[in-house]
Amino acid sequence: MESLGSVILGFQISLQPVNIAYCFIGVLIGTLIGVLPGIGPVGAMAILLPTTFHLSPISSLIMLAGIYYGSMYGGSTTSILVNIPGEAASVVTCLDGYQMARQGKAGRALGISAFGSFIAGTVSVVMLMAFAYPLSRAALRFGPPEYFSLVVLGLILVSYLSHSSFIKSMIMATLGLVLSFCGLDMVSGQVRFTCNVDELLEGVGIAPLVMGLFGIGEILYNLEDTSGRSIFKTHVKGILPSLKDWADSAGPISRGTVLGFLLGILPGGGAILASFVSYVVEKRVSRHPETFGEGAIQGVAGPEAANNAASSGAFIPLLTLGLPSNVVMAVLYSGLLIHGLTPGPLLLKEHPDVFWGIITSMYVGNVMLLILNLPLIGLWIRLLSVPFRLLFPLIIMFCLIGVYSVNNSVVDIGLMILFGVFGYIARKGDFECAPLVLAFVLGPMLEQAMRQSLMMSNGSFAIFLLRPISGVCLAMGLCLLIISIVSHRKRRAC
Amino acid sequence: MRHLDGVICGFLIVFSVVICWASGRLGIGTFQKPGPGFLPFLCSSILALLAIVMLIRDFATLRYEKGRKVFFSKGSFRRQLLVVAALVCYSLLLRIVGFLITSSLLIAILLLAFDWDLKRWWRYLIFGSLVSSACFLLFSKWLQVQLPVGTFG
Repeated sequence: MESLGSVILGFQISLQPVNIAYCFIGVLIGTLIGVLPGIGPVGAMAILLPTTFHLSPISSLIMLAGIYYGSMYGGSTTSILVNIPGEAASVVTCLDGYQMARQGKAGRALGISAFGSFIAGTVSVVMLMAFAYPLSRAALRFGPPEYFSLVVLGLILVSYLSHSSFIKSMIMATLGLVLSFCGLDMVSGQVRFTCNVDELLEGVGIAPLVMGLFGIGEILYNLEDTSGRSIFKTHVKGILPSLKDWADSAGPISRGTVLGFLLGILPGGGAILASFVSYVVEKRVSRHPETFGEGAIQGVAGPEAANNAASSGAFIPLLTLGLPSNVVMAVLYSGLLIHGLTPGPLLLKEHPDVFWGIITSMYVGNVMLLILNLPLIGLWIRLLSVPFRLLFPLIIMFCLIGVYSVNNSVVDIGLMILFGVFGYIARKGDFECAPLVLAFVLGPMLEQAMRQSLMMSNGSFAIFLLRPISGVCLAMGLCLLIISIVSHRKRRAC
Repeated sequence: MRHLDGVICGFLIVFSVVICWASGRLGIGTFQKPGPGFLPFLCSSILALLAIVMLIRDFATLRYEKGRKVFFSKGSFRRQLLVVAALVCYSLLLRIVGFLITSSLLIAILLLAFDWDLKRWWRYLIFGSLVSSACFLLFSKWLQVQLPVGTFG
């Protein structure tokens, strides 16, 4: 009964006209970001983060969250029509979605993608409601050693699951931790690693870091190939799936929803991993696996459902434990902190309106996305023909204004450029930037937890091993390290 | 050898050594009472170790790799260098010249970097002026973001 009351409270907040408006703005921008290559949801959220300072915490978070799951919807449009994923999680949709478009079934592919995403998004919001409450209560028992070990495990897991090599991801994660120490030390008040730059007293900002790595870095990468892209010339008709399409897609959507939700909870999991795993699973269970890659509707329905479900699942560790599981959640985590809210188990207790307002707004957002995506497919297609050479100066302008508006400081712009160059070089060297951002956001929490734990144990590191949850987390982290080393040696031996 | 990996590792090792040194100066403290340099020292040590391991691993696989992988092409490098240089100049001139003029020039240069067609410079300037004016109206007037007007403002 208490949960039902909380859900009703949530809907009372999310259905307020101002929050509906911001939810709409968020999902519209998210879909746009997903459709247009050049900037992803992380960069867009970072650009819009400063503009949310004047808004209420709930409205700003509803909008930012809308950008995230909205981009999942939009990314599938370019995957199907252009064979270029608008968003990383839609890479897999290219495999069969584009083939369906070539066979004149673009409408059905887009339709099943939108409906599958809607069903998965809705069901996963219900699962989020079911899991969040008990998990928040359990998390109240976590102390500093548990948080330290969870963060360590999370960073190791993010590194393990990333596309680049394990050691490269660990390097990036460690670098992110080092960057997070810049600024005033909270305990001693000493200034650390600021190079006598006053603007760095509060540390490196999340906006210059993220916009540099994912905005400027992405632009520099796209400048390598300035040739235009062509949209497959097909008339998109019949966007409503047929009964056969529904029959073929029901299983993949169901499996994708559950799989995506569970993988979204894992640090480093998220929408990208969920869509890949769903594709592999569908190919394995299919009676006709040879059709995958040739336009199988299951290859679109499953991954699209999975990536949307994962975007809801990712909210669980953020809202209940206060641990962002991927780089998008890390930006949302920063957004919560900026508004004076500490994500974690106490968020549900002290700010139930924020907690339930965000969760129920995701359901509202999913309805809006279904309404937006199907009738407006023609508009999204026209947007795809906007030349990239006109888009990228706009993206850079938005990045510059977004960064400058935080502190009115040109030092932030300089930092953004520096991180942009670094992000580009890192990408060329196959170093993934997501572990860096995640570690950067979690660094202060890690340091505080470690210091408190050592004070509690009078300097003994055994506290991390003797407490059951902490010990299990560290043991799992050690297992992942060993698995990674063993598998690397096996590959070299081959 | 993957020269880029080697360069990145070298940079990271130097960076880690500097951070370790600076952390030592801040004070590492004791296990009972960790100082402000404790975790930075630990993390930068781990970073140096990982970078060294990667460097050794790359040297070890050197003999298996034939040919040199090209990471940066001349044509795109020219464009990227122009973009970065334009951004650096933008950050230096923004407060002095003001948002409208610097942004118009920046957008014009960015379009040039993409097209690389000097004959169309006037089109780039017009587009740059329109976009910067639109951004000024959107962010400064509507979203109340403070954008610098410069010395001439």
